[in-house]
Parts: sequence; C-alpha cells; structure tokens
Amino acid sequence: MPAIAMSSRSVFSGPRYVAGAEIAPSGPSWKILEFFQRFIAEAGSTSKFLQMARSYQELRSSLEVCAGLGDDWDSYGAAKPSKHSIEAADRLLQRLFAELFMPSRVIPSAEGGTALYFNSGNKTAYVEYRNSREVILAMFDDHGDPIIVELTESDADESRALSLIRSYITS
Amino acid sequence: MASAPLHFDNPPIREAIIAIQVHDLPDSIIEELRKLPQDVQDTYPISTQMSLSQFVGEISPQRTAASAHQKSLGLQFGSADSKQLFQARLNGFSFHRLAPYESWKPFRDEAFKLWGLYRKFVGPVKVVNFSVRYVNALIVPAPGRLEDHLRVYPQLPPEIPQELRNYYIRIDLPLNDEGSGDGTLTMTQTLLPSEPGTSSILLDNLFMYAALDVSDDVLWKRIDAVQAVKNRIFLAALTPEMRERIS
Repeated sequence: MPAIAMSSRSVFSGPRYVAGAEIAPSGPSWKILEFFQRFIAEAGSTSKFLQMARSYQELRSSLEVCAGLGDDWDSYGAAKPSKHSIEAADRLLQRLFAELFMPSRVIPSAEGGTALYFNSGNKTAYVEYRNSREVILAMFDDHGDPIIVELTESDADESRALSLIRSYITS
Repeated sequence: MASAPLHFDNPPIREAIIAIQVHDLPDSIIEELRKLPQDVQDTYPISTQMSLSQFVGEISPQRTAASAHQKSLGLQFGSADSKQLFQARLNGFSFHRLAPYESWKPFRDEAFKLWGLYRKFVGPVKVVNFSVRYVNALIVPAPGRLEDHLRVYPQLPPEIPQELRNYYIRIDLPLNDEGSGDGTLTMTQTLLPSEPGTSSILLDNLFMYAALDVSDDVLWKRIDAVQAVKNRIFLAALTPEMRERIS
C-alpha cells in the first residue's frame, strides 16, 4: 500500500547553508518543486489558497537563496544573513502561511539579516530580523514619515507585528 | 433543499468557492462594474482591477508580426482581513471564503447577496454554469499510509516502491443528484508544502454543473442542493480515522 514519505526540509525548501553565492536546487527536491509549481499553475488560477501555496513555495526558495549568500553579497560590504535570522524569518513565514497572509518578498538585508516585505498599492511594510537579533518593523508610503517599531522575537510581538501590518496595508 | 450541517472542530477547509459563469458581457459593462465599490466599501474595502493580457507572435516566411492586447476583465473585492473576496467579471462572478470557514449557510448567504449586487450592476445575464468548490488541506503525521487517511488514493502494486515523495491524482466523475442536477465532480489530490513530521494532503473537490440560461431562482435552488452532495462526497473520501482526526 502506498505510504507518504517522511517530509523533510530538503523536499520543502527549508534553510540550507551552502558555501557560495547561490543555491541551485538539484535532485528530487527540485523535481518535486517543479511538479508542484506545474500543478499549481493549472489549479491555482481560481483558488486563492492554492495561489498562496505557490507563493509560499517561492518565498521558501528565496529564503534558501538568502541562506546561501556569503559576506559582501551586495558588493557594499553587507554581512551574510545569519543562521538565526534565517530561522526567525522561516518561522514567521510558516506562521503567515498558516494565517493565509503572505508577504510579497523575502530578501537579505543590507544591514545584515533577513527581511519579509509586504506591498499593497503605494504602501510597504517589512519585518527585518537582523544578525544582531534586533527585530524591526517598518511601515511607509509615498507621503508620510515611516513608522518604525522595535520588536522582539516573542510570539506576542509577532502577533502585534502582523496586526499592525494588516491594518496598515489594508487601511 | 437544506442539508444537515457538517461540523468539525478542526475543519480542513482552506477555501470555499461559489462561482457562476455567464456569457461574456459587452466591454461597456466594465464601466458599470467600476461603480460597484461604493456599495461594498464597508465590507470589502480592498478593490483591485482584473485584466486579461494577450501577446501574439507570428513568424512565417511571409512576415513576422507581434501584437499585445490588454482588456479589463472586472474587479476583485477583498475584506479588510482578506478572508473573504469576490470577483465581479465580464464573464462571471465568484465568491471565495478562506479559512476559517464557519458553515454553509453564512457562506452561501453572502455569495447570494453579492450575486444580487453583481446582477444589479451588470443587468441581464445568461448563466452558463455554476460550481461549488472546497479546497481542503488534511494535515497528517508523516511518514504514514495514505489508506489510513483517505479512501480515494493511488493503488500501487507491491513490486514497485511504496513510498510516495509526491503524487497527483485528478478524477472526473459524473454527478446526478436530485436538486443539483447533472454535473461533474473533479477531485484533485496532491501533497502541499508541510512542516517536518507532517504531510499536508490537498483534497480539492470541485462540483461543476451546466446551467444554461436558468433563472436566479432555479440557479440558487440548485446551488443549495449541492450542500448535501459535497458533504456526502467529502465524508466518503475520508477514513473513520481521518474523520476522528478533524473532529
């Protein structure tokens, strides 16, 4: 009788730490990702949930790329994202998928760290996990001064950040 | 025809959709749809334009040509918490409820209300078909046996490896139930992204029915009758263990 294989980070794009500038997924995990993306392209055209599932896969891939960066990745001396910042961003990403509230991008920070960006119209918000273990929430648009909130990695602060982002982005 | 509500404490529904396709409306109707936000501003404050883009390239010994075309298709409206949205398009309407899903009645009632609003703005329409879709994600321990969770799954002969890294099945089955009428069930399964130690099995049930030129009254009676059908199919697809897991 068919059995489901043990799920693993290698299959669903968890952070990996590879020397060099970029991770090139290879082998079965990449084939599964291709398979999944093909399926989602067909089925996701009308289901918002499946569109989010595809977005989640792509963001996890972006996080893998961040995890594979070296120092000076931007040629301006930026430190590579620390393992801790990658893991913190990964946790938040998982939570966002569970809550069906997806960010637009996951990118490395020039300050050293990893950031999740949310965009809607002319509004932008991001949560940045710095290598220094600071957590910054920033929200800004084309007009007013940016709103900056310093947070911790606690569940309560994460919830607060999501609540603030939701209300800012959708207001 | 009302059906006994199905309730689970841990419902696996990630999205429920009621969609109604209509014969393409004239492009001029898009101007009417653009007036719709004023009526839903309180409950659906986020509106986005939907457009259809087409690129055509032609290469032949006689000529090489390329053209691009874009047309407005309609608008999408989202609630402030992004859990509910609806699309008002030139070719139809759909209402989407994302998790947490409460029950059929509020879901159906909201879709009915918004359909009425859509009809108010676009005027007469010719319905082509309607569909009710439930996108479920069944979270189960991994590794594990599919047969412990589902009663619809791929059969593998013992001579080939039994461990699935992923799978994808899609089956189209005829439906012929009193009330909802003749239709097609498209059941899709695959493995979704999941956390270590678990698997997330997509169980996507799409109930599609032809409904040429039916009146609104008949249309919604048939949609209401799908409730019993979708409950029956969903329960039939699960093992008692899986039902227990989501109860």
